[in-house]
Amino acid sequence: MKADNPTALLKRFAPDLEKTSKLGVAWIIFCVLLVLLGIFALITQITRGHIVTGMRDNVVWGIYIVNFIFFMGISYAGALISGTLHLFRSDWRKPIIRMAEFLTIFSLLIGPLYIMLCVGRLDKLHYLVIFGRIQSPITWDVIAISTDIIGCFLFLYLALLRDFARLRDYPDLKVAKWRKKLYRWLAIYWKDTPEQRRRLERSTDIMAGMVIAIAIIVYSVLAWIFSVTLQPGWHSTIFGPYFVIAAVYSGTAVLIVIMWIYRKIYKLEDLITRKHFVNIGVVMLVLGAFFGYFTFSEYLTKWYGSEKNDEQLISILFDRYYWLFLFSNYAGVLVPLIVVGLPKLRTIRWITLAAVVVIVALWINRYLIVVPTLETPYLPVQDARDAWVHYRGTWVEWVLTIGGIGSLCLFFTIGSKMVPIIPLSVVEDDKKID
Amino acid sequence: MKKLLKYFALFLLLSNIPGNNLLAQEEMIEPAILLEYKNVMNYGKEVTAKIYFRDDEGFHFLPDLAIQFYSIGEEEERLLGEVLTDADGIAQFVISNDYKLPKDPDGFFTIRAVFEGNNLYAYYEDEFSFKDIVLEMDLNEIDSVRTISLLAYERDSLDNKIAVEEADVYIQVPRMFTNLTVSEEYLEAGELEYEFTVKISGDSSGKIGLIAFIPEHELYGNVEIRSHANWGVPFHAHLRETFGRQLWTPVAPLWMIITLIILLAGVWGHYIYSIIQLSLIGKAGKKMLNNK
Amino acid sequence: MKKKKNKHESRRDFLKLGLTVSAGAAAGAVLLSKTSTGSTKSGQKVKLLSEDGQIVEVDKYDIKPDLQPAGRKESRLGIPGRKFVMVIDLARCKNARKCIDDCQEGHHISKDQEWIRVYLLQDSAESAPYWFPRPCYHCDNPLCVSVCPVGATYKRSDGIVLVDTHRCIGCKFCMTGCPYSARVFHWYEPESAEADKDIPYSPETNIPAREGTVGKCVFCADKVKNGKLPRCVSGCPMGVIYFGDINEDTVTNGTETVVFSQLISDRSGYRYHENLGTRPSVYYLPAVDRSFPVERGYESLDEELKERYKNTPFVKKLENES
Repeated sequence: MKADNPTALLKRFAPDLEKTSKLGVAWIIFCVLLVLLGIFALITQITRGHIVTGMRDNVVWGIYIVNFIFFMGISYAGALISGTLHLFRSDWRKPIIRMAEFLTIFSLLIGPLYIMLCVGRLDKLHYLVIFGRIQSPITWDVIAISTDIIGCFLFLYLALLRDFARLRDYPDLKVAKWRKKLYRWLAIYWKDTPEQRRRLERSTDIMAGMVIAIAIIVYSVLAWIFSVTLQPGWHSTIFGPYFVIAAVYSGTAVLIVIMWIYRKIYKLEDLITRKHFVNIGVVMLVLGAFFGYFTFSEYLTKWYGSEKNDEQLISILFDRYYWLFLFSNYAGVLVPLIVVGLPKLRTIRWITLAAVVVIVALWINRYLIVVPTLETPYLPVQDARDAWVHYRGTWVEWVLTIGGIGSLCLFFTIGSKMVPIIPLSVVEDDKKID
Repeated sequence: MKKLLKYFALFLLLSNIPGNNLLAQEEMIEPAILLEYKNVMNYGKEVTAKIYFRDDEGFHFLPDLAIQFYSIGEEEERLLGEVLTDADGIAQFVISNDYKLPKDPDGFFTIRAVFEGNNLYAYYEDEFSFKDIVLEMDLNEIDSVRTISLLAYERDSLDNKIAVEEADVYIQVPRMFTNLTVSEEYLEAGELEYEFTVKISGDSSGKIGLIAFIPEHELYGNVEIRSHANWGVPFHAHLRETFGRQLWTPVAPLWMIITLIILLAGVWGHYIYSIIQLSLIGKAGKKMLNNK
Repeated sequence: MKKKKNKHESRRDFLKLGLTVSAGAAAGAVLLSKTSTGSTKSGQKVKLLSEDGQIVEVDKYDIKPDLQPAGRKESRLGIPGRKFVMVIDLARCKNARKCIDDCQEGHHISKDQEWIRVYLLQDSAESAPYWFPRPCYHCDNPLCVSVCPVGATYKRSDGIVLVDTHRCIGCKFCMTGCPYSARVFHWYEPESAEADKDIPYSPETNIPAREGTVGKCVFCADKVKNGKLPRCVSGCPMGVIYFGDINEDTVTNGTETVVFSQLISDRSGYRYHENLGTRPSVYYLPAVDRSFPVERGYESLDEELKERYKNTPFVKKLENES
């Protein structure tokens, strides 16, 4: 194909790259406000100390670590979905693959910020590198996450390369000069020669495999931060695979919601069809079944053996956390199973709705892993001031959570303003080859 | 009317209280001195004064106060020295055994600890009187039986030895914080032969300290003599059972380092391969551009 | 009253040095051997009065080695040849809470924080309740040290586990790593920060404390190095807590000194949650033939403290009965 011949799709998406509607501007301002609010809460926490959070000596980690697990989880899902779908060469993946890649990288940029919020002395953060101890799972995490971020950026870039070339070669694109320059620079002389294609394909294949592998390691390491300790609710051998499955599960749900939103905003009904929703929905169903299975075996063994401390944990899960537990571990499994399982319910709307349920359920699932465990240590919580015993997230923590969601939205908005949200070259070129 | 009177009385009483309190605040705090004495044969008489006061919150030990130690004779009052109390309110003073303290006709000497008082704390003094004693300890292995021989006596004015009539004596081994009593014995006519058969851990050569201690004798106070012998069980710290899997040490286990290196090398190797491919893509494109 | 009329001004001056004034240098040598934690020669000379009234000069540290809390580097080394151990006699504890008070006072920590806590435990509904003081166990396999990402917490050769708050990044991993909830976090600017700001920092005391870092019981490393017992030991009116060097096989509560192995064997001493494999340096003697009825430790508390035990089965039962 000729480079100076813009394709139909690029023409279609060019307006979105060129200008932002009034509603779009309002949306961006809204997201920025959420982020600023988060920054305000962060400043409050830094100036007044961690006392402004609900965390105390027993529950030392709270919503922050839940958000950390959550964002890292959806990042992993993006990597796994885009990686596997690429390696399997499944045709239907094409329109949604960029969303998955964006999800990977954006949530990966936000997730680690939350573990930093748990850190009492941010001024000493560089000690993690200078004095890093290899024995500590946190060091494993630092190494794994930084490796993951670089790998995901590389993978994303490989996927974007041909689109950058298209944007460079499209003369009618009315964007600022610096953006044109940026596209040219990022396209590194891509001329679509057979040699270039071969090299790109090879490295994309390799990076797809790498991204999958690293994501598994990163998420297992994250699980091990909990399971290497002796805490009754955490010291479990299945935490690694359990976290990995839960991560992909929640990430798939987030991807469905993102697909739904972009489909609505960008009018992608012809590109993203019910088929996509059903296919991803089936992936979600399978993962949901696995997640249910892992959750069941985790709590069944604790409950059946009823070791004293496990029993304590189970009893507060079914007492104080009853409704949360019910929602996260029953509704969170059964709703997608029913919705995707019954052909009648297999509509875009219902699948998206089920995905929303899964997202909330999985967030609560992580909350129920972190907080109740810390509330039932080996030595009963006694001889401490009443106000210090139970955990309840404060406004600072919630605002920072919302700030994180706001920045994810902001990243997505800016991302889809910079490059088309549909991978043009994949959708069009590969069609020719196939 | 009666009620009114009662209230009036109550009012008077109450109105008086603040005044009283004010007065009390202006009054000085009255401290006390806990005075302890131990006659250590090896070097001298240890006099320890601990100054404190007590209120609702408990004991408060007072640091940085000057305690003066006097020797009180029949006619003279001799200032021996002045010591500032430490953080725990303790002032310790040692009088060499060669130092001649003035004595009364019965042979008793008197030591007085005085706190002069300052603008916060009131004057306080305390004193005690005891007689001099000589306690001798010999360590021998008689027929391979480890034996401690003790001899306790007084010297009269003509330097004659007068055996101590009766006294409890503890055989002790000094430890890091306190002395461990191995046996409680009794001095009869100022003499004791004690066979040391206890198994007790010493240093690497089995060396232990040994103390004979006469507790709170009514005439002589606390009396002590110290020595040492290789009578303990040799202890080797490096032979103590250590725990094999030490993840807490500064250095990580070898397998962990190797695994990490393999993982990182594998992943980063692929990264580098991809980056090289990217640069080759760029090069190929540039070449094409130049050829045109 | 007799107010020192015969005081020599000149003589007073040199005696007023605030030291243990001993007659003769020999005394100094003996005193030193009592606290053989290694002397640091200061080169600082002090004048003393010898037995014949002559003035001699002695190095300050020969008289009374008063070892200051060590800095960050030195505090990583233990006291050579020592290995500390604690024994807590549950039969004697009546929750007098003097250990807590003395610890909080001695380490300048706020009332929100307890380095040593007293739990009211009852192993099952039918078994006997007992008061359970819990300091840091200074484990021989300390998980808190294993998981620290920056080496801020460490175990010394003498067994003491310390935290260097200048290294600590405040990730709290050690707090979740410790199965005994022995660690506390400075959630806000410590109340003592302003008053302590000129004191040179020592991990042996954790003074001055820093916001956003972890603190814990230090086995009073600053006292121990001077041959003095930890504050909770000396503060306890019941003599509940014994402390000593396991290499010497001796522990003491300040008034009684006993052979450690003998005590453990006679009284069936045990370590809490031995199954966790943390190998604590703190042993417990079971509450057999106790000195006080257990309720005395509860009834004598004020309301605020009573609140802290209100969820224990024993207190619930007690409140129901009355």
